[in-house]
Amino acid sequence: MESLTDEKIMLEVKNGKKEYFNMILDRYYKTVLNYAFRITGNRGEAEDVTQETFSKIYFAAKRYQPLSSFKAFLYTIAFRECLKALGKRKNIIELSSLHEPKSQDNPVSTLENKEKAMIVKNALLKLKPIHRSALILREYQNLSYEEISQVLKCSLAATKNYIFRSKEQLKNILKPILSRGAL
Amino acid sequence: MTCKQLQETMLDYIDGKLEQAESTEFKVHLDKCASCQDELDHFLMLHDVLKTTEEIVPAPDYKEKFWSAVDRKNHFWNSTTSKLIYYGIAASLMIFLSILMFRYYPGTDQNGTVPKPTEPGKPIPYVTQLSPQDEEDDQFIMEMNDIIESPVSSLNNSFAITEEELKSISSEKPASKTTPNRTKSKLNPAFTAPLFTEFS
Repeated sequence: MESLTDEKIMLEVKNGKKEYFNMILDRYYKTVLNYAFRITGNRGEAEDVTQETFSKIYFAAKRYQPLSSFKAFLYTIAFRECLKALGKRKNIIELSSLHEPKSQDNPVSTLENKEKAMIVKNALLKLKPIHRSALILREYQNLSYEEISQVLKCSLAATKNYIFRSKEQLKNILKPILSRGAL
Repeated sequence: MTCKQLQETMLDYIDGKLEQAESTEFKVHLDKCASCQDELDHFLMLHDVLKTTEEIVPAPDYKEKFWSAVDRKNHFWNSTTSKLIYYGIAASLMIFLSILMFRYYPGTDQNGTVPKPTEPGKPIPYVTQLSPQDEEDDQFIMEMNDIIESPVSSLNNSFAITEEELKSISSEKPASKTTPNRTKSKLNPAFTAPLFTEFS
């Protein structure tokens, strides 16, 4: 059962075996949660986005057609939900709001690493949502350029351009630190 | 390879997706261009730096929360959908009956009787029954029209006032019964007398 592809699992869910959806949750809940967290910069919003994303995927299973990769389908919905969450907020995240108490499950243990993580997170949040999403999908979720272009509904060239521009922008934001070799 | 071309292929180089020839060109350019080398170093550092960001894990009961949210939505949709179906059927039925009523209900005639319904698509016949008084009035109006529209020369002398009538009018006595030709007419003798006297 573990060896089933995502697409086959979705087809099983489509046929009424809803318990199969637990496998989708096991495989992707954490990654989508982190994707949403990196896009929104807020844990509460990320949890809401993740719940809504999987809920929509579950109810869409009745109409599911395995035409493209499941990952692309999943992150398309997640990206839309993130944009909705950002739209609801209607204001740019201020840096002060980013210094929230962090979760206890932070993998970085030392103070230096925490600072690094916070600086990078703040730098990511300065990017445009679509650039940020392209970069996160590539760097963290390991999606192919083709899958990212499906998620963002743009061409392959535009996808590569988004990623390159976002990396360049990020490099410029972090340049003083990168030059000093602080990171 | 120019600096611009190198930038365009940098992502593919980092991902190891460049062809052998392109990769060689890339490296040759890097050896002689310090700024491009610097750029690549920063990109590679960035790649590592991005891995240092905070990662969160879901709450332990995330599955229970998810399934309870799904159940709530299911319940909401089921109740809303069934309500919508009932309301939709009721509204459709009302609209259908209204259309039937306005299309095929013929109303009543002057006597208050309801004509028999016609078959769909056929025009409703307009049936009237005149009362005896209405028929008498119509007859009188037709007679008057004939008189008004006919030339003076063709007027029948029977419409002219008789000597007896003239006498009775002048003596202000009620009209005698000796006017058989005008029994149906309701012309007031006082009104018609001067007019027809001239013609006679």
